[in-house]
Amino acid sequence: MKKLLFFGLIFSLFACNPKPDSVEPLPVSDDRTVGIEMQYVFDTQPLLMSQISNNTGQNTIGFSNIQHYLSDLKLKKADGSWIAVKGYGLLSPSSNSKASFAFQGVPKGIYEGIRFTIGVDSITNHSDPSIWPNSHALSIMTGGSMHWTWNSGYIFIKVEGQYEIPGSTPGGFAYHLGRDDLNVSYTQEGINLNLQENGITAVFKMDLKQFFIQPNAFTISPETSFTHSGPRDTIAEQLYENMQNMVTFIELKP
Amino acid sequence: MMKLRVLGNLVVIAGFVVACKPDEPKPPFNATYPPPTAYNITSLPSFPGAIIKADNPLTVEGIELGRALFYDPVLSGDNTQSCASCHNPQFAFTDNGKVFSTGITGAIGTRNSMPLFNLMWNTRYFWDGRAATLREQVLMPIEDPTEMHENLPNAIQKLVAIPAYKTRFGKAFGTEAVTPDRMAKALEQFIFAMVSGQSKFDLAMIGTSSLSPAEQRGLDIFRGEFSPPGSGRPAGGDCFHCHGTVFFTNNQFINNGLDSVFSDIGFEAVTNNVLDKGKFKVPSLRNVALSPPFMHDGRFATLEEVVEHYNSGVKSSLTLDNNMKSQEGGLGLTLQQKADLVAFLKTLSDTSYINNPLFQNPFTP
Repeated sequence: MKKLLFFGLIFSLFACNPKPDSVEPLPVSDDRTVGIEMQYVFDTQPLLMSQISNNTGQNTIGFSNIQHYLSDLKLKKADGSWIAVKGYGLLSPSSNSKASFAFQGVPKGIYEGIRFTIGVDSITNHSDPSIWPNSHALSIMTGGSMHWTWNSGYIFIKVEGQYEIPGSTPGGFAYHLGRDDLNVSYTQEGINLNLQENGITAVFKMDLKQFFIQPNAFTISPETSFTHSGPRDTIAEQLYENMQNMVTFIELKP
Repeated sequence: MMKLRVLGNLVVIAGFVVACKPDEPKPPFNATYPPPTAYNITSLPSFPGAIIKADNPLTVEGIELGRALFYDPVLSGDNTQSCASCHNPQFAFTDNGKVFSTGITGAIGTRNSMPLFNLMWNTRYFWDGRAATLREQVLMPIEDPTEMHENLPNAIQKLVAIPAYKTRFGKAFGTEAVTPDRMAKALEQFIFAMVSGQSKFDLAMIGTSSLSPAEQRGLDIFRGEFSPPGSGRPAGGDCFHCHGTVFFTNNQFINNGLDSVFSDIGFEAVTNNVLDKGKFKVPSLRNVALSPPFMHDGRFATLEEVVEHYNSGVKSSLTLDNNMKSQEGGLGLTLQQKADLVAFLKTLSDTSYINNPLFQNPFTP
């Protein structure tokens, strides 16, 4: 009988317990995280939304909405080759004029350069957005206002706001760039991106003044106050050229 | 000896009971009210995955209870009006073509009854977005003095007195208790199940139907970008910016240029942000031809009037949508183009949805 009691107790402890006391430790992952932090400025000052006080040289403007995709991270190895890391972030400056996105699953190592894209690749651009989980940056549930319905794809960057018109109420501008040939990639080489032990964040600055001035001094007027990147749209092409100089590297931080 | 053996068996059984005890309390289902049957939303092309609330998964019994509550006038103060009184399926669940709805006291509402479908994927409810969730929204018209004008304790008392409801609550939730939370959950389930995505347009997109030349031209204008008159580029309506995605809405709040001075400040009343003055929920254009009149105040009786507003009637103000500010001179559409656009909008009517037996009045023989 004692045996029966003993086995009964032992069996009861292990028979159906869904959470055994001893748990195998998870293997330590070799993957690292690389964050991209974007600091939004207008010239030398942090970008403040809704204030019509930014002088481009051609117009005095304020911003009401800035959103953009971040994707296609690439890291340069010592042998000069680049590795690619998948990931899609939808960024918009928060109240501290910053936004960030973390690329996961980066192989540990030491890298000498970093590259990413504002926009998405062509295949993704024309894929059915319903394939993405609802919480994904490319789902219309999170980025609905960044997708141009079925065929035309995603808006890579959206810059909206208002501009002063002397003697009148402010005018509005809405620049939506999002065509396959309007992807913009930014590269920073000559850095020591050490991912041996931990992840790292690369900090960049996005200067919205550059969006309007360099190399094309852009004047906002009723005729030039919007673009949706249609074919042969010269406004989109000018702003695309200006975007090349809009993002610059600041630093790496743990 | 026998006692010891019994004791040993009890220890073994007790051990099983203790060892197999789940982390979470068991749902209150039992032999009388077994667990309800899961209800799966049919997947439609280009639609995102269904959003299932962890605390309120869709079930056949829950939806059935929600349908009964939706159509039952017992939820109003004088037992004369139900949710369906202002949300008739034949009008895409709007109020029978009325500008404003009339409550049980004869009070007239101030905003047009909104259509009901695809609300599972919606964010914020009512024209002014004052309800953050559908579950929060569904009980508000019951208590609104200008609508059904009933208080929830009374409504519950009336439901408890009807044996059929006790059974329905039991089947849906495991016990017969009637609570505001369960009422809201059942209504949420019913309305979440209301999915519309089988219009002529949808069928044309998958190749089982086709658009007429006028409808196709209208679609091109709908998807086309605005081109200033005289630019030499094809005219576009730029409709897709706000009415994009498979839902034909971006689910945002915008000022679409109806007024320069606002008697109804809309979203601003919810956010207390002056930059939201005159902004209202962008409605889906699905079933739009079935749900006149149009705009938050029902000011336009026909789709032709709506198109003309965007073509030539947009009024300027500080909060006017930036996309529309660039179109203040008007879209410059011709008579033919406007007619084509209306023809396209009519292809968004989904008669299989409005006639779906699952969403009809269960009290009608």
